[in-house]
Amino acid sequence: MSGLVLSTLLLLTLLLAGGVWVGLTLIAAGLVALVLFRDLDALAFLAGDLARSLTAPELVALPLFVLMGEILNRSRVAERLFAGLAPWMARLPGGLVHSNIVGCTLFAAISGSSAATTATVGRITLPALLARGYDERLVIGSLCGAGTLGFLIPPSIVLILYGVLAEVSIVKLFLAGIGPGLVLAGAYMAYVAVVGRHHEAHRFSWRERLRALPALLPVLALIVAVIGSMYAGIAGPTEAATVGVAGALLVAAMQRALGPAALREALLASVRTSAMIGLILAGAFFLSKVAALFGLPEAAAATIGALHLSPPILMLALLLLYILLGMVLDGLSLILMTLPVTLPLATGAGFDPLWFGVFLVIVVEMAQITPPVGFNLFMVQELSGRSLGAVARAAFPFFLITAAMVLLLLAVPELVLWVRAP
Amino acid sequence: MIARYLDFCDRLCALAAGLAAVSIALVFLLGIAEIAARALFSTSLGIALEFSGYLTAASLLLGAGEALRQGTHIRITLLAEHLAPRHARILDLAATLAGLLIAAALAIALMRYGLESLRLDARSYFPTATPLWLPQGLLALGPIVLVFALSARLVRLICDEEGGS
Repeated sequence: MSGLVLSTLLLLTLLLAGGVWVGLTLIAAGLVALVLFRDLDALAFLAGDLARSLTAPELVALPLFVLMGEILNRSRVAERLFAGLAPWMARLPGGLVHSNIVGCTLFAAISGSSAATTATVGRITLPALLARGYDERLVIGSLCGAGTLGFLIPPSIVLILYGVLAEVSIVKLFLAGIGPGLVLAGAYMAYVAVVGRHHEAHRFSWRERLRALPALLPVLALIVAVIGSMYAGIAGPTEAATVGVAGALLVAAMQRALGPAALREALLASVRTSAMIGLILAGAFFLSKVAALFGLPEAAAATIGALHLSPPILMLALLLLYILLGMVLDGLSLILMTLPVTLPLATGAGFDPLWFGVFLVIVVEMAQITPPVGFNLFMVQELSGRSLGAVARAAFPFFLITAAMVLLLLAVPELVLWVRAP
Repeated sequence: MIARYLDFCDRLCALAAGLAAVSIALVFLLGIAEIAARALFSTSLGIALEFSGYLTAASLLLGAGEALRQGTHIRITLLAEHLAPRHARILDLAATLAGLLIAAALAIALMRYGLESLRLDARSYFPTATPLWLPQGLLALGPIVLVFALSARLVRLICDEEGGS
């Protein structure tokens, strides 16, 4: 067993460090392990597994949620969102920086990815806030932090993938992400309120505030359609995603933002993102089946069990491991690669798979904003034109807040587990 | 000759991406049709669940070549960024070659699987009893295109042309 584990880890490290694409690396590791240590038709095993797992009905929502985000990215939803929020945020301590956080929180509820959330909201808020003279570090940092909520607040591509791999209900995972997502958004806002110095001179009247509300309608309607329908139990993830795409099309059409060319672009962008996810997913599905074939999950759980770590210490150790790995890996690869080993560890230590899913997503959010590899950092770097180091430094306080959220989740698991209650 | 091969690979990637886009659009339309059938006629199309699964699987792999060309696939470039350009290029060559071999294994595996289903006349367990080589062949297309895309990338690296990322 140790020969198998060591050689697989060595191969994984070698290929990943050498720059071989993550999905292909995972496939290679699984194939080599099968060829060296098992006498079976490795290629037939690979093909059979992919033909089964990639056609799973739970995955249908995935490209649809990606498409929904791409359509909304090309609409004027974010612009209207900012216009609707500004009169309400202006007088808060910290001023309009809050529109970054509230904007991302609301947009996260209609978008499945944090990159899409960051890009769509940031493209509007970043120039608007900097033009008004807000502290650049706070503006950039809060966008990095709040953008990661795209993964935690449903719909969420990461939660769909976790649900499929860990065999946990995706709707329950979605509901479980809401509480921690809102707490995290509140914590970011509290930080901005304490640190933010700049205020808006202009006092918005109640009349102006009320007149700004209709600008929020498209987003709120989409949230009700997507999350509301799942919460009410009338739709599964697939139906919710289908309705979401239809709603996004409708909103974009009403804003006259979606011609045939933009629609084609949105579809092709979704194809690229789906292919990026698909290749890693294919590798992760296969590698986790290979790991199960060798009894790796049980062996890992037994090894850790023999150390007699208390459950919170185990989670802190995992947190540390994920933060370190998160520096060189993106969030998606991180979850999909490690899950075959860490999920049995967590459940073996008595953690609920539902809770562990939310834990992982928050940890992955941290991975998105840790240099040198952090996709939200890259996105904000592109939007702001600042160096990666500057963006990472601006994001650091929000990284710490997110880490504190993990500790809170450990201390108060009910934040997630209320979903389990009958 | 080489230029024509590269052009062929690029067109193949774009074509497969177009097919993936059509797949996603069809998944959406099937979803709408199914919701309408349930809401209006309290019935199910019966095919939505099965076919949207096939189409989703295809859409997850069909864009692989185009995503490679556009640098969307995830890889760690940290080491390469710290190497001298000449060494970084050699590393990239090796990584692309390794990727090509792995993708070829994946493509062969899926093709063989589809051919085996064709030979055995395997059918889906859904009422449609769809011949399984159809969705399996569609699934194999993505990795096949990826092999072409990686070979084109390799050729470009050898010829020292500006490759993707």
